[in-house]
Amino acid sequence: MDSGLFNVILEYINIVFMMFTITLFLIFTTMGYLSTRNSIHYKKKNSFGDLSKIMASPLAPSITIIAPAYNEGLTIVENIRSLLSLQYVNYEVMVVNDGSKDDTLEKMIAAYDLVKVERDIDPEWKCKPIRGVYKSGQRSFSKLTVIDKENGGKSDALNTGIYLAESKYVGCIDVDCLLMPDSLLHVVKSFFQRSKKRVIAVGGVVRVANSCKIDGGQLEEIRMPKNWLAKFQLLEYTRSFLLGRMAWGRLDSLLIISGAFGFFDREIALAIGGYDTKTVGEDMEIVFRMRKYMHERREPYTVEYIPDPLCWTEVPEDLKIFVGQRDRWSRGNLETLFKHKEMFFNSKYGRLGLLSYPYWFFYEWLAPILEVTGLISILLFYYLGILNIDFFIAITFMVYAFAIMFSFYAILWEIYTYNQYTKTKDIITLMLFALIEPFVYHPIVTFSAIKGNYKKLFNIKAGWGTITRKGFSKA
Amino acid sequence: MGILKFTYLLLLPLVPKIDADLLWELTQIFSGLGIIYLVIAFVFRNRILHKNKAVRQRKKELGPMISNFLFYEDDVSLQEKYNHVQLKLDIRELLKDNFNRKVLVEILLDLQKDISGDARFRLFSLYKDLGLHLDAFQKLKSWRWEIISQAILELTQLQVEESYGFIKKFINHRKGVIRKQAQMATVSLKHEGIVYFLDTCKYRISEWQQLKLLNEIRNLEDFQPPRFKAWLTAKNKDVVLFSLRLIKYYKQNDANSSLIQLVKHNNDQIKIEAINCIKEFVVFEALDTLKTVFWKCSPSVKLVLLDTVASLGEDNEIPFLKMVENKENNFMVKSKALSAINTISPETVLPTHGIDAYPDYDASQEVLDEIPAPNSKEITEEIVKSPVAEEENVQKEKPLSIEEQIIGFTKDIATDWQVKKEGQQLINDTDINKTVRSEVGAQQELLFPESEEVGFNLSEENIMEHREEIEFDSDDIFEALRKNEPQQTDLTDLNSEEAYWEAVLDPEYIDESIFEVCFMEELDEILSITAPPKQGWAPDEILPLDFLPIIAQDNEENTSVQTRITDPLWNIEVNEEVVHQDELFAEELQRILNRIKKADDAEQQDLTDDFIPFVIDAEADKTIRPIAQSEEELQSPEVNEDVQTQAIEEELEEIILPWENNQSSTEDKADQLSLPDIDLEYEEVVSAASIGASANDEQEALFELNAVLEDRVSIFNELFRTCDAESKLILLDEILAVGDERDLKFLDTLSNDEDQRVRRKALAIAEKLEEYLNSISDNKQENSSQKSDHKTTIEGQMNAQGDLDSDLDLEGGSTEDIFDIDFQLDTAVSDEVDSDASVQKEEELTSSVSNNILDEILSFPAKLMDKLNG
Repeated sequence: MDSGLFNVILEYINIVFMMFTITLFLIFTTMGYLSTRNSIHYKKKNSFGDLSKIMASPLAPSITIIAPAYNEGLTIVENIRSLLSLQYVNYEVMVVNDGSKDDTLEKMIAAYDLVKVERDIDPEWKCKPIRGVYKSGQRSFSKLTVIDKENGGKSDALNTGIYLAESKYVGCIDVDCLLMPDSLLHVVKSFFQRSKKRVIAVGGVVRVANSCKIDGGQLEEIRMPKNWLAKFQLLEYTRSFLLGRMAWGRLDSLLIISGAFGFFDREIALAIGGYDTKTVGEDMEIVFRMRKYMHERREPYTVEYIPDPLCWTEVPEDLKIFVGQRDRWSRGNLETLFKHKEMFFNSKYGRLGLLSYPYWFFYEWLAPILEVTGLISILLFYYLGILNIDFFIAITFMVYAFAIMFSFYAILWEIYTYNQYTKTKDIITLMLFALIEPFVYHPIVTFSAIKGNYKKLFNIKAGWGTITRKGFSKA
Repeated sequence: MGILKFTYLLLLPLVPKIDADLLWELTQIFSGLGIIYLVIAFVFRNRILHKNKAVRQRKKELGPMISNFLFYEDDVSLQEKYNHVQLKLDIRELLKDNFNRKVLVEILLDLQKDISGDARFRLFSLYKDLGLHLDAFQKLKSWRWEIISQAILELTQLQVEESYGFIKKFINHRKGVIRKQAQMATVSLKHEGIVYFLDTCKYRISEWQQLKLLNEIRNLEDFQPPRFKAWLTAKNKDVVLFSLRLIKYYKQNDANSSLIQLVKHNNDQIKIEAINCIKEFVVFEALDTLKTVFWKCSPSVKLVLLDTVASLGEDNEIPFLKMVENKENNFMVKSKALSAINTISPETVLPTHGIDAYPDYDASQEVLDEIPAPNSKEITEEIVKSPVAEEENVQKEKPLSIEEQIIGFTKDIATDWQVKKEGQQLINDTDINKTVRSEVGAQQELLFPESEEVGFNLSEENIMEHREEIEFDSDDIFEALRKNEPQQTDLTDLNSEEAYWEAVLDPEYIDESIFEVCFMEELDEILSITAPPKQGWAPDEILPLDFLPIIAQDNEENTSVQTRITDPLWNIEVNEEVVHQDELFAEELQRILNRIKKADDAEQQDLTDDFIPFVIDAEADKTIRPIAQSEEELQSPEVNEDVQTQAIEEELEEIILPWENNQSSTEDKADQLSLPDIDLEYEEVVSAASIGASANDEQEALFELNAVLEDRVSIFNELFRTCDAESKLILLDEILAVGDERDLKFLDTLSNDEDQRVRRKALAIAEKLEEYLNSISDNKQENSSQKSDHKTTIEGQMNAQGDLDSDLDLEGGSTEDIFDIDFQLDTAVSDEVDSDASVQKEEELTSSVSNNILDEILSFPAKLMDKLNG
């Protein structure tokens, strides 16, 4: 009798897992479809006109690029030079030295002839004390502003920048990111092209710059990363940015803007108080709050997404650093979802509450936990001798086939849209990595996510961790 | 247990059975799709590559044909005409293929971006001659938005005006992409398109679209913009907004009333644009409306509004701004209000945060402390004679209490009113917020600007204060300039307070005071421009009058030399009149001022030459003896002019030779060395040579020259400091092209560079440069013998210096000699050695130097007058 009940429970567990998997497949298939439509539309729509003509328009809005820097002495001068050479007339580069312990500030002062200037800041504005604001004495670097402040983390540094900026739009980027020269033109276009909705934020694709040929702060040649971990991340980024976010953008339900390349309407960012300094998932959290703010004010708004490869960054090649990064992401995810739990299936927030939030809850936060639970169950069932081997093998193969298919689709779409990796060898490499990803890379990602959740749930203190920059390879 | 049993019986039939076969089927489907994607990926890739290759190939074929059509002239040979006709036939044949037509359109679209003028018009004609525009017209009928948009773009960029009528119908198309493309075409195909667009536009116009439309309009040739105020009454908010932007861009200031009305618009963007226009066109009558609407505006509008009030407002707006500061909660708006107050009335709002409490400043204490500081006996005597000093002495015995100071201040105000009554309008001091200290200090400084010499702190701030306080009357000042020497001596006799105030109110004295203040201000400006940036000097630091020398170049510090080399302003300004540090400075200034007053226009021309002596290299300051001595030395027969002349010539050759050896291309020369650099080098050498001329013996002259040479730093030093290794490698090649001895030293330092490639290359370049310089020095020796004749001539000119002095009517200012030699030497060289290429260069350089100086000197009185006129 008891074993009979146990069988019923097992059957239901099977069904839950099955439904979860089928829903996931359906969502992914829908995402594939939506991203395809969106990409084609985007490509056609943007085939007209020449962005560079607008570069010096008197109506071009002002943009401030805020780049927090913490112990970036190795690459800071080169990175700023790259940021200063963007094709746009009305922009400012604001580097926020977040209490670096190395010679980051000294290097900036020496390289760009910086002098201290007076600036007032609202005493009510919450951020760590500012030690000084610097401007360059040289006309050629007049676009550069450096803020030196006490250490308060990335969010605090970004908040300081948002407050001190005077532009209509602010861009929050990682200082080690390499922006394409026309990236600001794309951003301005995204902010300005809507006439019925207010664009409150613009996010973009982040591409993997490891092993690429960089010269003088410019991307000279796109190359496939040599490191195996970076190759997996490249595949993941392609799938995530080209299909995932493109689809969410199409649904106007984008909930995350990469911290490496995100632009915001400064007025809204200030209105919501900037980034939350208490979370490590600040890039996701700020979008949640901005969206909530606009929803509550009942103003038509949107968050735009640019699929063009405008931002290139160095991804971790060291396994430990990688695990730390993913651990932080999962903690940030959990913190944000918990903080905005009132949105869960809340129709007041429209698609945000009914679609985006639940997706993030079930398939970004819960999925790794379910995966591990499933794995443990299988081992347990096998041990108990109640595992349906045929079913297990069949479902495993099905999931594997689907994962491969989806990755191949992302590669296909990469070729169709931007075709960044022109060598046949590179395409074959990506496909091979797609084949082995579920066995090699995916377990690492799942492990990192579990680790992050564990730390968060059991309140184990953990910070940002550090990433050792190697600097972009020279031509 | 019963419940469990019940549940079991109930649920067991409901448990859905998942067939494993279904899963296997799904697996097969997904695998199949995966394989399909893989195949498609490669097929796609190959197709893209193949297509790109085919387009490239076809462009290669069609490109020359298009060029032939674009640049074909009628007056060619028969054979060429035949070829041209044949080409026409060929291209017509090719155009039967759709792919070729497509590629041809692509080529034309690309070309129209790169060519201009007649060729561009030919290109447009060719597009139509080949009938390609008909394809575009056909595309306009398509049901696909991207094809229609592409066709509109094509017709617009290739300027098919006939399409205007067809395209303008699309400006209200329901599909946004078509609509936007049509709007662009409408405004760019015909000048009246903008009128049609603004009249008929129903949809919203995005910011991006407005930006692009404005860009199109800006690029129209001979465009006469309509009066955009006509659309300020449009129902479409975006049309109003765009019109406002166009009004601002084309500066159409004939819609003030509408602008004022639009400030009350409920749309923030329109409001902001209207306020911006008001600011741009200085619409004073809008101020009341601005103040009225302020309280209902959003913070972003408030900021723009306050900015405009600051720009247009006067003192009577300050109460409003203070109210904003008090009532407003937004920090940014409050800050803006304070900033606006200070813009209207500077220094009204003073820093309050972090200011420690101190007792009021006692000016008398400082004066008494400062008086003994100078060593000069004359200055000390002057202090004793000065009424200020006497007054300060009295104050020292009995320091003024705060009450007494306030009483004094009240008296000052009363005096000011008296001044105003008499129509002098000199001291505008109604701001009762000013401190007693600043009042007393300002009065003292106004009356005795020269008192800085005795230790008064006449800072830039104080001078600025005077500038604000004094309302200048240009006619009076001009008169004052023409009058005789100011009655400064009278002031020294002012012992009583009555006499003191009488003197203050004396119009002549006031004019003179104004003049002196302005003159000091002018000097200050010269100082601020010409003085090399000193480390640790803050702009707000008190600037004592004993600021001489103005050029404080330190022999020890290479950094200042680098700054001079890299800073173009410095290079230019060093040729200006620069005042030398000398005890005779005040005397010299006074003499010049007297002459300004006396001189008529012709004399002023001569006077400008008298400013020449003020030009001096600060390098010399350290070693040169007082100017008075220098003059005597110059006249002394002991001076070995041969040595000096030779040294000068060698120095000039060193500068010029690299140029002579690279005369193949003018552009190359320009690349190798910029003119300011040459000016600077020349100036340094001439100054050094001049120093030598004023010295007693040749050893000293050579020492000066060597010192100057040693302290010069490679112009590449600064560049290398900030560039990366790649740039360094490139710059090293440049060193070989333009380098000299300085660069050899610099190359040595590069042997320690962190980059191995740079180290290696630096060594190689150093070797090559050394060889090159050796070869130059050999040439120079040969040349020197050939130039001995010229040298004799130059010596003759040097000896004629006495004649020149008399011509210039110099009055013993020995600094004059320094430059006169230089000036005369250049003339001599240019007159005597026209045939010599190197000396020709020298002439160009020196004439540019002297021209700069002359220009500056000639412009000095005008500048002074400008200053006096505010």
